[in-house]
Amino acid sequence: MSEADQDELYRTAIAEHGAAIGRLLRAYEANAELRRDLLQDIHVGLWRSFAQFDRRCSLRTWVYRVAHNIASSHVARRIRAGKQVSLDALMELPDTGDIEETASEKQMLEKLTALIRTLGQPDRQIILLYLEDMDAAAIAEITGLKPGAIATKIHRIKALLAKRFKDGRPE
Amino acid sequence: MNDLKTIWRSQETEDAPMSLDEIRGQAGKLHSRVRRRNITELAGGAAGAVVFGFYIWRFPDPMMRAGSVLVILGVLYVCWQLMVRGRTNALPGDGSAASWSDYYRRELVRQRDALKDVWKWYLAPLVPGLALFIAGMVLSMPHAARGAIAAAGAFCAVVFLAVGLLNAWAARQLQKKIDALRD
Repeated sequence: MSEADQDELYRTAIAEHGAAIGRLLRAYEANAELRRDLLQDIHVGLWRSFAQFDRRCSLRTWVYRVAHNIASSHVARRIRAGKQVSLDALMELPDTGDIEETASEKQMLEKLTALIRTLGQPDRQIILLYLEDMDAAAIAEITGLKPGAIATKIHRIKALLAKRFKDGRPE
Repeated sequence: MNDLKTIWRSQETEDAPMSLDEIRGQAGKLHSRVRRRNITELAGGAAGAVVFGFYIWRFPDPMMRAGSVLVILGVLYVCWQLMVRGRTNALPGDGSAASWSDYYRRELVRQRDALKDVWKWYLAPLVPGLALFIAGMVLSMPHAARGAIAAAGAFCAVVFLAVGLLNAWAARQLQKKIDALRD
C-alpha cells in the first residue's frame, strides 16, 4: 500500500470514528496528561497499521480493534491502573454512589465512565462497543469472542446498567 | 437504556486530532526510542566487558583470566539476545489489528516466553565465567580470605537462582491465563 493510501485511510478513519476514539480514551484513562499520550499512541498506531490494511474486515472493525488493543496495553502497563473487576463481580458490588448525585446527564456520564474504568477486559471493550450502539455480531467480530458469549455479556451489561442507573434515565 | 447510549455518544471530547505531519513525527520518535533503548543496553554490556577486560590485564591467575574471557563472551551473548528480543517488542500499530482475543493471547505468550527463558539466555551464559572467576579467586587468595570470597560466590548463586525461580513462577502464572482463554 502506498503512503498516500495509508494517509487517506487514516483521514477517513478519523473523520468517521474520531469521536468514538475520544470517548474510548476517556473510558480507558482518567489522567488528562496520560490520555494525551494514549491519544498519540492510538493515532500513530492506527496510521502505522493501515500499511497492512487488507480490507478483509471493515474499516470500522479495524479501527476499533487497533484503538482498543492499544488502550488495553496502555492500561496493562500502568502500575496504578487500579483493581479491575468482571461484570459478574460488579453486579455483586453495592452501588456506592448517591442517587442525588446522578440527577443530571453530566453526573450520569461521570458515573458511567467511572464504572467502565473499573471493568477488566474483555468486559470493558464490550460495554463500550455496546454503548456505541453495536450489535452482538459486530462486537464479536471486533473482539474475536463468540456471538453467543457476547449476547450473554450484553444481557448482563443491560442488567448492570439498569440496576445502577434506574433503567438509564436520570433520576 | 437507549437514553444511556445517547448520553454516552453525545458527550463532548476535548482531545484534538493529530495532523499527518505530527503522526509521522511521532512515528519517527518511536523508532528513535527503540534505537536509544538498544544503545543503552549495548552500553551496559560494553561496561561489563570493559570491567572484565581490565581483570584479564590485572589478575595474573589463569583461572580468573579464563573466567573473565568467558564472562565477556556471556555478556556479548546476552546483549545479542536483548537486541533480538527487543526487535519483537511491539510498537503501537504492530499486530494491533487482531481481534482482542488473538491480540491478548499473543501478548501473554510473548511475555511468558520472555520470562520462561530468562535463565537460558540471561543467567546461564554468565554462570560458567563467573564460577571460574570466583573459583580462581578462592584458590589464588590466602586461606584467611577464602571463606569470605566463597560466601560472596554463594550469595551470587542464590541471587541467580532466585531470579530464575521468580521468572519461572511468573511464566507459570501467565500460562494459567493463556490456558483460561481456551475455556
